Amino acid sequence: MAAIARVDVTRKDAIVIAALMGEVDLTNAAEVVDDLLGAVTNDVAGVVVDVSQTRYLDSTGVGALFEAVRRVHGRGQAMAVVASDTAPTRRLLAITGLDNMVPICPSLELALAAMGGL
Amino acid sequence: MELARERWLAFLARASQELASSLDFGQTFQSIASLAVPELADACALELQDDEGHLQHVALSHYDESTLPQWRQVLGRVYTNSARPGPRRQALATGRGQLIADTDDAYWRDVAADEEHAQQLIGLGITSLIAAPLTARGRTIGVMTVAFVRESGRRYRAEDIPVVEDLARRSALAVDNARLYQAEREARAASDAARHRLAVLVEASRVLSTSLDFDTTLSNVARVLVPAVADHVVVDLVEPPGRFRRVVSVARPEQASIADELLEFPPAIDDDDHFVVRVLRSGASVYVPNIRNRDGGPTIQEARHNELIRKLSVTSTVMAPLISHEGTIGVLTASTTVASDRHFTADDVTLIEDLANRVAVAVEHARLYSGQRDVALTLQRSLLPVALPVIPGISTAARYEPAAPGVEVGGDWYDVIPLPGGLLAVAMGDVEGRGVPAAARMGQLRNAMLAYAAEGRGPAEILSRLDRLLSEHGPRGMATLVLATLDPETGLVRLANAGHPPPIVAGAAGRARFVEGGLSAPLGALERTRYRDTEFTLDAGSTLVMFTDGVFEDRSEPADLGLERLREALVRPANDLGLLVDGLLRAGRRGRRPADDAAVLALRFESLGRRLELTLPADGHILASLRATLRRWLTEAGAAAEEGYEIVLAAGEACANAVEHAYGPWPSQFEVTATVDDGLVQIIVADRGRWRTARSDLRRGRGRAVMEAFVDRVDVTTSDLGTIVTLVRQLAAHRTASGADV
Repeated sequence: MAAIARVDVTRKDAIVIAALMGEVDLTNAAEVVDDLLGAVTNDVAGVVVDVSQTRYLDSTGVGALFEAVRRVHGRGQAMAVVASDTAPTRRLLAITGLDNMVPICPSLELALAAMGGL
Repeated sequence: MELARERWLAFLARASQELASSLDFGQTFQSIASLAVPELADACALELQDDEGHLQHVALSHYDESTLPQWRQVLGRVYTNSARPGPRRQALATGRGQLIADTDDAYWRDVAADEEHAQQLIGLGITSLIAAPLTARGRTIGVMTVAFVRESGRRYRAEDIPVVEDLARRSALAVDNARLYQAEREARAASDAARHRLAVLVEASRVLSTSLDFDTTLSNVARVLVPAVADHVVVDLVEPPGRFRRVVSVARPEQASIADELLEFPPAIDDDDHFVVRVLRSGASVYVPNIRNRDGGPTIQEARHNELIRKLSVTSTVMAPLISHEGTIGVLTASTTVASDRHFTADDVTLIEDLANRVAVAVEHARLYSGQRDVALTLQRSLLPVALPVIPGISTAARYEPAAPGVEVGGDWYDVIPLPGGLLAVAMGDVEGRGVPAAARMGQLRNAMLAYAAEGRGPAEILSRLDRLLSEHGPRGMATLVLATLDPETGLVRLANAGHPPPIVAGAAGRARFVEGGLSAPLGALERTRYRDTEFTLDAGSTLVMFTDGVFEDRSEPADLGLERLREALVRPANDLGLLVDGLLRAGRRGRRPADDAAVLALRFESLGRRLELTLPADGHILASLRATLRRWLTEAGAAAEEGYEIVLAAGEACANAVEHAYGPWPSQFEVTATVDDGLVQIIVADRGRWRTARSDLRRGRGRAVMEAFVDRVDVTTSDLGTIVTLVRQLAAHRTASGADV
């Protein structure tokens, strides 16, 4: 009964939107990083990772996001994260310091706007 | 004087270590009292309330030890006849810390019982004090007092109250933990005995299912009982009719030669005084708990036989009938002897009777099946699950009964499978045809179903695919199948039915109804049948029952009547699911010999209760289902959605660490205990490894900070035995409901 996570990928102009669905824990965090990075092709300016619908995201899941930021930035691309202001996940991202690395926005629109300003 | 915050914190850290280090709370309390003096108090006392409400001082510390006798004299009593209640009495009554910032002689005269008492109190030289209640699980069990005396000139302030309250609360938990530990040890001792008996049953069942030579199988079963439970076991079968054949006589090695010789002395079937004959006639077992007369008794004719019995020296005995569909076919006699000098308990009797039932079934099967039938049955049986999955809050039981001898084995099957993502698939099917071909087709269908289910498809979608598979590629022939997925977290069931008899949902409140929705044609019956899911939710305590038509069909009556008989039998379902499925088979068949195979499966969705105790393999793959169990438990405990999420997140971190702690070549386990009391949720995760920074690159030791952010309190205790993480959080609904956050 392993955790199941899925990365739903859509594209808006030069930005990839990757919605993390399901549950991310230590059994599948590494695969989630691979799936995320696989979606960010060289021809895009950046990626918005949407965790507002993620059912479970723990510190390993945040570790996956850190790894994704490191690699995305390393390629010269931008990254932003969507998480509802009031959700526990938003606090999780603050506690672990991910908000120091990338903009964390309460909606997809704001995240796209943040990317546009980059 | 003000106490510097850092000093308090440093003190609390040391105190917490003390509290976690021992389960002897008396010793722990003394350490706490000693730690507090002189830094944070000139004197510190911890007192517990006894059953009559009197305070018993448990620990006392004073920087000037020569004053201890004086203090002891004053402590240990709360005076109720004074003009004004003293601080300790107020702390006990209100459940809150009491500060007396400045005391003078007038104050002590007010709270004293009499002048002599006042002089004693004044003599202690107290200038300032705080008394805080020792509260565990919402109950006040005592009081902790810290005091400054004249010589030091220090004073407590209002800001110090919560800190003393906190220390008192932690100290009280130590008492509580010690009590819990004691209770748990007792509970464990009781369950060890039960586990031992279960292990014997499981082993015996395993032996019975291995189809060796029949007599060898029976003597192997006897060897499971000897010496684990009994010292001597005999099986007497009526074979051929009209006489007993003693098939087995097994004893401990030191009495083995006696047992061997006893094989030659089966009871005479017409000896009405012989206990074995009485058991055969009545079908009821006989239990003699204490045998003093070691003679064979009046029914033993031969001197040699009597001598053997005297040598064996039985101390207690159980004679259990072997009951099959044909009636009583023999008797199993288990005895304790002087070799072990033990006696059977009532629990042993239950175990032996249960084993006798299984032996009877094995004997019957061995007699009934041979040749082709045996092959089909073996194949068919091998496709049924050996054991149903164990999921907290969900219990299951299933039975399969082949048709009467002379009728070929059919294609009935069932399965319960945990799916990735946490859902549980429950299936019951019947493949058209008989014998080996039906059993083989059933195997194909089952494997295909498992594959589609693992892809995450819903019941109707899976049935559509199986339908196509059967009509396009597979061997000809129809099959019926009812397939459901259950969300163990919410009880939500999705179900689709390909022409199978409708399942029944038996509610806890004495209602039983058919699941009529989601019904379409059998698999392979038509061109492209459309299957649809129906959805419903199982309430706590309700049972989903699936069965094949062999359970209820009787050619002498319309099928509806048989179905209705099953539904009626489920209006008041048995508590024990094993009994429930046995009862259904009996109710459906009304005592007749079955003309067709019959399979029945029951699944009950149960409340998890206030205390959740899980022992889990240290394997990351169980984390998802563990979280699902915790979510459901938290919902039942009254947690709101968001706080439930946060508690699961903190617990998930603790469990992920427990999994990462596991190392070494042996399969490792960890334990999760969740309790809720008055809205106070406590989750304890215990493993046998050491707390250490996570191994995985992605974890990087962020877990601790996450736990601390999402619960009120995190305690991590590491010892050579392992790591224990305790998470505590007060649920918001309770905080406002009770008005006080104690």
